[in-house]
Amino acid sequence: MSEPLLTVERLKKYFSITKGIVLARTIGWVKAVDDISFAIPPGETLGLVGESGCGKTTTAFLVLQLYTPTSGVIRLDGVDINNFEGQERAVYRRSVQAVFQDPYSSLNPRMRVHDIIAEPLVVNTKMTKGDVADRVKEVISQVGLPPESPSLFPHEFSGGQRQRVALARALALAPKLIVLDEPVSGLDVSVKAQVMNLLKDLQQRLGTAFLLVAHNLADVRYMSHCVAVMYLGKIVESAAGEELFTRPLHPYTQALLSAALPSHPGVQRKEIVLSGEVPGPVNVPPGCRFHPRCFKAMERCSEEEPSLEAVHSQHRVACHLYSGAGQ
Amino acid sequence: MALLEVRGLTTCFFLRRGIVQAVNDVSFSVNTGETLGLVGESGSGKSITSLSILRLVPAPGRILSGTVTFDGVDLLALSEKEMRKYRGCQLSMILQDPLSSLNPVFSIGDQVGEGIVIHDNLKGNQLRQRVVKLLRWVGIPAAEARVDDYPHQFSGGMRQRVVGAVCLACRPRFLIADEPTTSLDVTIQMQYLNLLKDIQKREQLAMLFVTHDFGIVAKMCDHVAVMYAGRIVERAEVRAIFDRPLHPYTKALMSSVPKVEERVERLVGIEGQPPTLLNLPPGCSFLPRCPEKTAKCSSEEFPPEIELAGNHSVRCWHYV
Amino acid sequence: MRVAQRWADAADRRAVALREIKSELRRWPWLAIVILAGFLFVAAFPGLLTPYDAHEMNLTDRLRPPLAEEAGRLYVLGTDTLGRDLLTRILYGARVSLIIVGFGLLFGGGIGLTVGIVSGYVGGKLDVVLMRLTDCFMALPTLLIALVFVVAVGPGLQTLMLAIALVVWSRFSRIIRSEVLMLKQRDFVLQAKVAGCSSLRIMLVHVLPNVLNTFIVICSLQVSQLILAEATLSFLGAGVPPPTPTWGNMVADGKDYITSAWWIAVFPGVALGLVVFSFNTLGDWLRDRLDPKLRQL
Repeated sequence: MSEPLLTVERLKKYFSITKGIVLARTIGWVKAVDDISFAIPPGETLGLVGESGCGKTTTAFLVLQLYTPTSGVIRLDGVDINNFEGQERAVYRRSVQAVFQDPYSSLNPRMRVHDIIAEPLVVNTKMTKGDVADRVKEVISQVGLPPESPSLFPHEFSGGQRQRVALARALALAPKLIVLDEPVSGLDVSVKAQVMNLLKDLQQRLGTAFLLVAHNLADVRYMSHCVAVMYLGKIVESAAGEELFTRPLHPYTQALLSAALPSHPGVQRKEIVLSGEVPGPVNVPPGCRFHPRCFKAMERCSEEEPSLEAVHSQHRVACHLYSGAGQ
Repeated sequence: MALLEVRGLTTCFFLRRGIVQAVNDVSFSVNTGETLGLVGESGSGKSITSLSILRLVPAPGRILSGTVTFDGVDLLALSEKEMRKYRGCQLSMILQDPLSSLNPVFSIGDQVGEGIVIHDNLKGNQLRQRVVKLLRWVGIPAAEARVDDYPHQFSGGMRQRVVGAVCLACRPRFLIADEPTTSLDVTIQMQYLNLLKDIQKREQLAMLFVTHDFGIVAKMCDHVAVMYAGRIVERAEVRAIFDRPLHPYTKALMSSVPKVEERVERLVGIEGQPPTLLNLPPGCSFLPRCPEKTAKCSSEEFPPEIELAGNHSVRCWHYV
Repeated sequence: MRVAQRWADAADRRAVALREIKSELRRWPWLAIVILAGFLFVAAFPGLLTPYDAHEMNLTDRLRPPLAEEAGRLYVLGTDTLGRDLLTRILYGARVSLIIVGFGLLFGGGIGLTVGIVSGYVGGKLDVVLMRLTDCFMALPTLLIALVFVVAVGPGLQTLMLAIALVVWSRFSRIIRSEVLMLKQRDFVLQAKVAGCSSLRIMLVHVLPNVLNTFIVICSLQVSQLILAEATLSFLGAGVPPPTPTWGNMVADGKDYITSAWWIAVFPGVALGLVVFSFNTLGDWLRDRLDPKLRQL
């Protein structure tokens, strides 16, 4: 088992709710991410799934250092990234890049594609103009865009092509990890397939790891080596490869899988209907966060919060149904 | 007997740069109590088709030819005044974004009641009771208390239910749903689709579901029509489309979708991009991207519709 | 045969391109553009259009009506109370208006743009302070402040420019700030942060070019305000002091002679009206052209 590339330990991010403009008082906390831990092996994909308000996007931002954690550690190659200053921060930037969801918002409409892709290089390295131009051409061909692309503007490209430009920009610094925040959600079906295949191919060729944040379970199954399910700021279940899909243990995971759209009209599935809606991250239920909506809730669930424990090998669950069932 | 029958519908947009044939000779029918899925990617013309049925095509678009027969009446031949009696009352449409479908400055009670006021002329307490009943019907909890609340006080899933109530207020017989679950979470989407199915069974609604997602088709539809570049290229019952797709586009599309039930080794995908509909060249519009093209396909004409066994029709030169 | 085909295609494409350019140009506000072009030309080279000097007084030729000829001199628009050729004074007056506008936009607009971008992007307490400052300045009527300034410092072109610029900036900052707030949400700003760009770089490279459209539109709409401000102040006697010709001055001079020598007040007034109308029309058209496209992108 190789050393993981990125480890996240007991990560928390609380946003304070303040009242007043001049003398602001904190009256509450939004616990967007509340004590999560996971690891991404080099060259593999971790899929982070959950519905709105679960904290997956916040987690992605924390990994990208766009937010500072309230507590907890993020390690890259074993080194705590919070202690990075100046130069080291630049090194981190070169190792971790991102592609976001909306292809129409992630490219500056006033910049040519060449400048968009070159920007990370210009800001973080001292490469000469010629070297930068060569690298831009290199990544352009890696993502399968036509060679005349660098001189064009974003509005001359379709949605799928824009995502390729965004991907090219993310690859420019040859990062070890790319955070993908719903990278294919806004794309047409056939284009989606192209981009997902491209991502898989690039991972094979370049050995880049991916943190894939998505809500579509079928996409996640296609792309990920391991999957973690989040609910209200916590990881409720995580497992490697197919395990999560073939043997879902946590009731929420089971509900999610039962709600996913079928791939054939003949698919018979027992549908699990969850009562109520996701409570906002401000009013977190006591004990297990999922217990008010859980169809297998026990008395213990409203009193004690279950911890994420390994049930067997890589499969971890945070649920009282399985507490103490570890190896 | 089909409740809605569309024959030869053609809608074009007249731009300075040329003509966009958004809907080109489209024909299909929907029976009472059944759901037809209109499947296609962006630019296929599916949304314009649904707008054409309700005669809500924005300028510079115009419906050029065809008939839309609803319960024996050709909607395209009516005057605007007569058409308004049908819209909202007999035929209704749920749009994609619940945030912009609801007016933020009116309470949900007002918005649900608007159609009732116009078509059924109810007022005061009678109106309010009907509205509350409708809200309960679409599953809004504590409807009596929330009828005066505003859209921003509801979550996305709830808002989409309110939109459903608005559309169903006058008990229409035909409902068009244009990608209504795109912005919803997975579990909320399931609940919403189940709600629509429920309502359909109870009211014997005929539904036209416009979507790009085959999962929705698998869950909701009885019949399917696949659109590409403004034309319907294949039409069949839902099982037939999944088990025996005939058109190369349909086949390619189905193998571009990952599955949640089993591991897919490699998605196939389709090369290139959906075509722009501006000044479309003659002949089969899928030809440039088709993985199964043969010599027959380079004809200057678009393949005619061939009807095969079991109500399965396709427009492809391979079957002529 | 193939070459001929290519030629035909090329000619075809050129014809289509030409047609497109023509139909595009047809929708431009030509009247406003022509008037403004004339205004700029006149302000730059007033001497080319008139042989006379703006300060040359001919007391024997006072109050002559338009097209009067005296001793071989043709006064196209007549003369004023001191015998100066009206046309010449109007032409030189355009220069003053242009200077006011140019400086006001450069200085005032520049400050407003900077404040708007910094306030919107940095946010927090700085934003609150800057916006309260903007509110204070916005509440001050341009004319009143200019009057106070002039009374305190003394009349003059520089005083006027300073006073106007000081008030005008606030008209820009609030609108620019709301544009910036929207831009901040766009993913490409987030991407720039991920790439490691400093805030300064983001503001200059990513935010500034995307608010320029709005800035240009506000400029064109403020221009008419600025010109009218100068005219009003000069009319009230707090603007540019005589003998420098400004349109406002000239209307002020002519107001006592409306019934007897109407041309002294009317022609400068017409010039004012034409220029203000043209800038407003251009501003409206620019806003229709630039802003909606920005939204789509």
